[in-house]
Amino acid sequence: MSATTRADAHDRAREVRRFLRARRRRFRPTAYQVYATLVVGGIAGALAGNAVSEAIGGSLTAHKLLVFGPVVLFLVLLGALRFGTWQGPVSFSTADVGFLLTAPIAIAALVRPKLDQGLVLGAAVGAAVGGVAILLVAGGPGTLGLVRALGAVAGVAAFAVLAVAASWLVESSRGASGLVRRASPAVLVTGAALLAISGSSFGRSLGVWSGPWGWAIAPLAGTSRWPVAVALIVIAAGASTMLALRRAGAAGPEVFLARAETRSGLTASAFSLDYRGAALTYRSALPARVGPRARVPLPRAPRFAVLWRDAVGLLREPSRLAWATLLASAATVEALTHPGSPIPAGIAAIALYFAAGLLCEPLRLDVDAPDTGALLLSWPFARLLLAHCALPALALFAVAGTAVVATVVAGAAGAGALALIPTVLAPIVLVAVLCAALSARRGGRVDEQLLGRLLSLDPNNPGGAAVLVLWLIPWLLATTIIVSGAILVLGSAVAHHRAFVPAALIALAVAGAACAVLVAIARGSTRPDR
Amino acid sequence: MQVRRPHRTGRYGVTMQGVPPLAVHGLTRRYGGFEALRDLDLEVRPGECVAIVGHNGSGKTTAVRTIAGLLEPSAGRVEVAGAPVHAEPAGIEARGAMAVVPDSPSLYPDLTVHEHLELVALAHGVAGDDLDARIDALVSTLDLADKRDARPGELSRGMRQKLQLGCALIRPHRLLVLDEPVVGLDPASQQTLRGLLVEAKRAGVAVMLTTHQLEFARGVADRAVVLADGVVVADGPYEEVVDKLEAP
Repeated sequence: MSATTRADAHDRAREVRRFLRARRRRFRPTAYQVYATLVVGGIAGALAGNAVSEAIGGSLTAHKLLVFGPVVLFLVLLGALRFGTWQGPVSFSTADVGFLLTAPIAIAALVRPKLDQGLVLGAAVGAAVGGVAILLVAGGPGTLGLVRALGAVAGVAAFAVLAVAASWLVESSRGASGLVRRASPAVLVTGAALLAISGSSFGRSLGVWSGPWGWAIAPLAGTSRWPVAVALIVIAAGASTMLALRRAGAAGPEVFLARAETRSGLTASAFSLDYRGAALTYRSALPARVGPRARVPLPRAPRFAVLWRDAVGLLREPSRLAWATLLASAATVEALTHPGSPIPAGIAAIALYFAAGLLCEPLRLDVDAPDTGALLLSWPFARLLLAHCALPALALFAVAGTAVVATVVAGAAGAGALALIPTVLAPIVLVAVLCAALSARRGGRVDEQLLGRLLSLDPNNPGGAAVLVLWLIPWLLATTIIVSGAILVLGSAVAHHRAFVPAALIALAVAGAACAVLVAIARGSTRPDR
Repeated sequence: MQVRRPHRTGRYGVTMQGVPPLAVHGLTRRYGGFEALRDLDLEVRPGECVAIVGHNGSGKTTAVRTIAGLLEPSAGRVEVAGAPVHAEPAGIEARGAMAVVPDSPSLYPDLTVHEHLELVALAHGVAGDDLDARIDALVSTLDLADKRDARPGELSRGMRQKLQLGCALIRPHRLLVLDEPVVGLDPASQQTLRGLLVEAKRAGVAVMLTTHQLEFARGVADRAVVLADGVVVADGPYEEVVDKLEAP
């Protein structure tokens, strides 16, 4: 291709951008929208601030920054990389793909302005976060000294730039995208390990010097060699930015078309309050698995058909098992290491519910296409629903039981915790699985009648939102109340050195009764009408 | 790579002696483990219209999207006017010689009909002094004259489809690719489309379209390529192939 034509292609990109800037009607918020956003943002910010403050046990100090900072930034970087696997910092609308990416315009010339914008926005947000952190940790730049304060702002800003650049590198490479997806559970475990050892001075030192997540906070945390850390993060951000800019033309229209279609699908699902549709749209945006498919020998007895189907589903999509294992293990460890504390008990219950939800996916698929399910297996729906609970319950029991043993072996819980395995662990796990299955039964869509009722409500009446929340998460609420209640009863006995056996009996009775009620509800379920 | 520069001529833009407007070699496309299109070989000559027919899920849209450059091939290559579609910067040349009408219209919700056509002309470097006159003539042909300043939200599905067609016709092209072009069009608009395709063929444009409405392509398509499960199962003169397909 001649240099003149290449120059033409870049010139055309500039002309097209100018045309669109001049013609397109920009969104201009009304004064009320600005006011409402500020009010909602303020309330959400205050709530988030309180939650963070409670989680780290008071206000932010240099010591707490050393303990929690690297892990938080580690998770932010992982989030940015994961975001790149299905969206990323450079996006085009479906119209852009049809009109611009199929035109004789250099793709790099269309990508560059968006990438530049993302990097500048990242730097600005990072600098702002760095500034707020200076205020929170040191009360102002005066306490830190001007040079260190500038280093602190530069460190966080460079980290944000690095995150944006890395996200684009993932977005523009199918190989990197697959690698990030496969490695995410292991990376999360690494983050948890980093957090687990952050209490020791070696752990804190490791956190700061193990990578960009630590280098970025070194000046704020007052690490002695912070200029070295700032130099490292700036070099890392610069190198990744150069690489990202060099790869501006690396992604083809397919990457942007898939992302644009995913965004449209998610927006449509959000407007119709169809969170199952949103989940399916998100999953379809992820690269498909390539390679040999696992096979499970067919069972001889028809009563094992659903168990066989669930096992095949799990083996064909092992990431579900990986995430469920991670969530259930984290829930168990959280509950065992914070006995008697309501927030860790609640977090553990929620994590267990989501782990069960991941394993109940084959049931959701049956609900998505009830006719297919009915054709292949003529069981009553209630029997089908309960049969789908068997494998998730067995898997979660095995994972949670292993986590209990590991926690005891590691010395983070007393040997008495082993008694939970043959007693209350099974009913607790079963409650979470049954609640997740009962939630899956509804197919994740707000039914038209409810939607109509919600739309007819007075917008100033908060009752509408409450009805919607109760519709969306009743089974999550039920799990949280029942499971965290049982965990709290057991944990309080341990924390206050009270007799364990009566507490275990109470927990067993609560979880057992809940199981009986949930099974009765499940038995009354009928095949969803689609 | 050596790519011969086309020279502009006539309403449809570019001609280039000896190089087929579309050459597809061993095109395969997989989605994970699923093979949607296998080893497609296809050549469309200037002034020829090839209809790709097949049932839902036979691989028609995958073929069109891959040829249009919207999907990457898993194997094989596509050349438009001698330039590879799936390579940068050579793909720029290929995109300049090809006009694609997708199966579902994707338009800018905030641009008018006229602005859409202006944008395409600008993006393809053909926005000369006579652009307004060309747009007026095209919207009249497509029966969109009274919707010149309307936005997509004010248009019916058929009108949006016609606008997409207009966007394809306003720019120079050696190859016109249409995915299910008659969906959403009323009989009169189908007749207009058929006339436009015949005119394009006369001007030496190669046309490739997908359809499952076999009657529409009669009199327009010269050749039919039948896809089933991503594989070509028949390729020959349109009437002959379609008559065999329709035979009980």
